[in-house]
Amino acid sequence: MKTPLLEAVNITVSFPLRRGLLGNVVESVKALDNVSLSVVEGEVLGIVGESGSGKTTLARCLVGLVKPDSGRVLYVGNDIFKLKGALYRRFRREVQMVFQNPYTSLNPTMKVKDIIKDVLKASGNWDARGEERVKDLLKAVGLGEDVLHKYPSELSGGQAQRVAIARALATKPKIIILDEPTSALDVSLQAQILELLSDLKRRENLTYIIISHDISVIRYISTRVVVLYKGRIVEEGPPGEIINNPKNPYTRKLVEDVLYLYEFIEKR
Amino acid sequence: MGGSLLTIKDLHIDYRARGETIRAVRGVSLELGFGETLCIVGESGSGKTTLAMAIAGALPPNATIRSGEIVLNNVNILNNREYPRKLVSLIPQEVGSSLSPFHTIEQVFLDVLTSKGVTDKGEALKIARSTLSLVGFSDINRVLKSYPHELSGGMLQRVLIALAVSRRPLILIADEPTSMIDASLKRDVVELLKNIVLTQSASMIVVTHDIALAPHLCSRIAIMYSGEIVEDGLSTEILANPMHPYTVMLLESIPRILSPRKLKAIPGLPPDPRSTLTGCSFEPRCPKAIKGLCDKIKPPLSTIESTRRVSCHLVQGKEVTLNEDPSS
Repeated sequence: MKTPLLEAVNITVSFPLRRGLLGNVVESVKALDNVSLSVVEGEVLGIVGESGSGKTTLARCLVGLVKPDSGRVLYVGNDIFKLKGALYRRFRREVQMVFQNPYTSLNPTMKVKDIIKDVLKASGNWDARGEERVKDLLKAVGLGEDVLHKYPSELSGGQAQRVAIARALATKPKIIILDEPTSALDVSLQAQILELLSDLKRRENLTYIIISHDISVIRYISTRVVVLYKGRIVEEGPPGEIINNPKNPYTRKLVEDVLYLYEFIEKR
Repeated sequence: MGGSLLTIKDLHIDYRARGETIRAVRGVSLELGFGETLCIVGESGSGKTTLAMAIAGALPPNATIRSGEIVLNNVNILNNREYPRKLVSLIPQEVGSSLSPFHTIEQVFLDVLTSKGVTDKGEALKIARSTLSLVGFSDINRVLKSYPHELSGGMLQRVLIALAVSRRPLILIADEPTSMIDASLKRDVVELLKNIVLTQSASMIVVTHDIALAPHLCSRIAIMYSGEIVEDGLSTEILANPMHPYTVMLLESIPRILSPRKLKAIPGLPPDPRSTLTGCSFEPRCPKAIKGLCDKIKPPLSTIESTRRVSCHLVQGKEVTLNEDPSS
């Protein structure tokens, strides 16, 4: 078995709901409850769950934005919250994230060119060929040079999400964590972005963790699926198996509801 | 059917923004009969919400109806500002910001019903209770005493549906009732709206980007693209046998879960809404477009079968010639 690239070991995260007089937490909610998962190189791990299932918190833990109360997150075997120096920089470079809403995840006061340039500089990839590399990255996500001097607000939703993907690619990552990358987009644009993600994975030899409430997106792109419900993993397996033979009652209900709603698409 | 309840003729709506004119609705004509249900399906910027707002009389101040007619119950509502708005009820998309945070649900119901002419408080409360129970609430006293922030998003949406129904409208308009919610909640909303149409015998217009859900909600679909209706007809027929290339490609771009296959995305983007279009609006993205025809002459929305209208030269086929005068 291959060693996992990124791994979560028994992570638990709780958020305070109410604090007492002295600022001590009186009541809290568990967003993640003892969750373990791992992803090996070349995989596309899909995480599906409804709102409040903890899927975004899980994504944020995996990139180090949220530190779990207990448990560890390992990148090629090293605890990401204990990384220092070159190892830490390598982790930050090789693990990237793309957020749901490109308009809030891209700096609105910067032009597209500068957004990408900044990342190239910070990751030590800026040299004489820098300007060319910005254009190459935009080309890789299907954008022309006309967007170079635009601000994020001047882009359409699909274009802005492409810029966010280009920014993630700028550090030459090994793994990209995508949090609802298409749910703010229309279906025709969603199909374009899914097509782009599949192409990039092949060309750049990437590994993805993709998070969505939409099981049809997860089914389309993933090689393995994890179902998250109320902060726990309730089912895990190949996408076809999860859809055709769901074992957990929650998964069964989810698949049933989606099949009902998409009845007229499925039987076309 | 006692004739048409709503008739829209060649409607054009513009927005003024930063000194520019955005042409949101470009010549829409459609009819809705008594008790009929219609889904207006389109992607962002297609003009579907603008069209619905115009019917509900709720266009934002920077919108102008440039030309056309909206005839509701034999009255042209565009020339008649006094015509009762209560004939059309709107269920807004934004659940969180649609209710005043300072009023309880009971106060909101009383306000809405008073404006409709129900001045007796007891009578108004009776209507409130019955519509709240219609949308599936059992603990009605608690809901009536609640402020909006005390209810969940799903509960608020049901309150908004109940409010819209309580005015006993002839047409109920729902703006994106299923966007941004989970599958199980989506299913609940779909079943609730279906049930309401059945029990209230109202006509309904649902504005949605989700064509997959349309046949569940409405008997007819109108597909909008860059401000125009490009295809309309019976929901199940359109899903089984789409005719306009845009509809065909839109359906191909939806991922399926039982029989997954490679998605075919529609290349490119919709045209700039500030531009004046010559020819077919979908021509730049259409793989079947014929140069010299589709980019020059705008295809009319013509009746193909008794229940279907399509605006595409390729579907209408033979009788179109390259020399045809575009104005005829």
